[in-house]
Amino acid sequence: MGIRRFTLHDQLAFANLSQDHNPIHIDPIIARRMIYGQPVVHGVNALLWSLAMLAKQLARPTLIDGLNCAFIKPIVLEADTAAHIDLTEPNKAKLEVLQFGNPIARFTIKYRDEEVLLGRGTSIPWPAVATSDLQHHPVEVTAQSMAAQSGSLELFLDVAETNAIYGSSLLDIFGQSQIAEIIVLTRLVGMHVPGLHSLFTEIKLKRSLRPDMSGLDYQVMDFDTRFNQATIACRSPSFESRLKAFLSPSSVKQAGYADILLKAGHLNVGAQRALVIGGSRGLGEVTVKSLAAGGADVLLTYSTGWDDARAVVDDVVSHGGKARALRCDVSGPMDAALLAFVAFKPTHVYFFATPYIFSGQKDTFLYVKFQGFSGYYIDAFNKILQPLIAAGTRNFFYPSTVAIDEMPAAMGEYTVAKAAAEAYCKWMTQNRPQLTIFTPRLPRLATDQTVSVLNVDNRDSDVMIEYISAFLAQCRRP
Amino acid sequence: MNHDDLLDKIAIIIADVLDTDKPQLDMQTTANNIEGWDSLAHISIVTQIESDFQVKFTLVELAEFSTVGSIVQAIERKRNGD
Repeated sequence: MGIRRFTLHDQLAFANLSQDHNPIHIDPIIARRMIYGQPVVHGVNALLWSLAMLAKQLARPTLIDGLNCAFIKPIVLEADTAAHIDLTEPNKAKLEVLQFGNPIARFTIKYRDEEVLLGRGTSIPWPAVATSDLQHHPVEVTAQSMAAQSGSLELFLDVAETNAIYGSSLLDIFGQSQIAEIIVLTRLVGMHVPGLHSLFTEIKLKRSLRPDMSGLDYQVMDFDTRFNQATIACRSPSFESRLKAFLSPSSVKQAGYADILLKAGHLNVGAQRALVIGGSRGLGEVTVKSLAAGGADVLLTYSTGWDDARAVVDDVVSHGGKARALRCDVSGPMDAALLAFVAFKPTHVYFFATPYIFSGQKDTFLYVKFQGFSGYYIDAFNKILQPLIAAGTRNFFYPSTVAIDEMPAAMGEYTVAKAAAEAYCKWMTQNRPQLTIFTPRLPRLATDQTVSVLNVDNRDSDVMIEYISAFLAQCRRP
Repeated sequence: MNHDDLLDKIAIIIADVLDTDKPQLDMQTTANNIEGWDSLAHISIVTQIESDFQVKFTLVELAEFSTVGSIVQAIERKRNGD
């Protein structure tokens, strides 16, 4: 068994090796708005790491007769990642990669000894990096054009870098050609088809020699529009393969200020000075625009997405509203931000800071994940609330969730943390009757967090205007 | 092919997709009862069922797959030409 933690540095090294620069793997700012809310490990990187461990247990050069890969769950960074190797069957290895005790990728490899491997001991006539299609930005293939996708990619392999990343046994045992033909698959999916919004889920590969070939030919065989899933047939010198990849949904674009002005202009916000924690996107963004449309002076915070925050501020200000942005990472030290909050003297605070919420596993409760959610929902909220109460702020909007009613099987840590946060808010108002803390259990609304490859029932986030209206009505009650 | 035969074939497909032992299924079994049957596995299971039974489900039918029993009934409808 092997254990490691993948880091962003590892991601960048593999991106350079594979020429798969898809931002879902290497750009934390862009990845936070993609389907997993954070950078995730290239599936092929996890595969090669597992094969490198297998290589150490195989004494002789090895031909891959077949390889089945299932990328079950996203492999997140900075978390213990374990790989188990099962060699109980002759000429067959079953490898399982786990995070948080749950399987996230499975690889089954059928192999045999082979003395002469193409590229073993001799250099193969391929460059270290691709010399064509040099773009670092993935293609954005649409669902409409997916079925027509076909083409060729050249093979390449940086031997020194491969040895540096995985150790020399990977190429010693499996040879340069087989490994290069596997590495190019991540470049195909991540950069070309489906490209930017790809979600690589499956490789089925079998040995089939075509020594006349020097690259990879590919063609989309099927695109299932019900699931946005592409099946891609590939051919390379040693292998025939079939890949499955989803075209995942792009980030959710919330309504512009001009549209929200029409819907929220009636909001009676009075002379409100609104502090919106986590206001650069999603529900926080809609709230900023709605409050500004009603006449509020808004200070919004963002954690890492300065471009998103600036776009929201520009949208509001260019139409005559009042908004400005301040960086505040609620998961880190907030001393400077808290001083700015107190100086702003907010009359109302809206708290939308959240990590990625769909990180749980069915029927599994991990205390460390619960702590992560609680760090945002209770600890950070408490740290912001206390100095502002002392400075005279009385009104707080704290979004809760219908997950507390529905108890989704794979969201235990999130749901329990939100329930605890609700209890915290109730405890605060019980002991400080002058406070209003409004905790509506919001339904699943259309945001970056709730996009899915499946058709799910996400309500339009404009419904936030109704919740804000209800909050303001509660604040006005004697 | 009766319900039990269909359940047995679906159990084999689930075991193959999830790489686990064959689960015990009945008409009331849901994805929540089967370890590893998440949203992506669901798509693999459904597309494998379609391939093995030579049927194609509509989006409306897919949306109604709340239990294994509802999948069995949809297969039977398709095979009866409904």
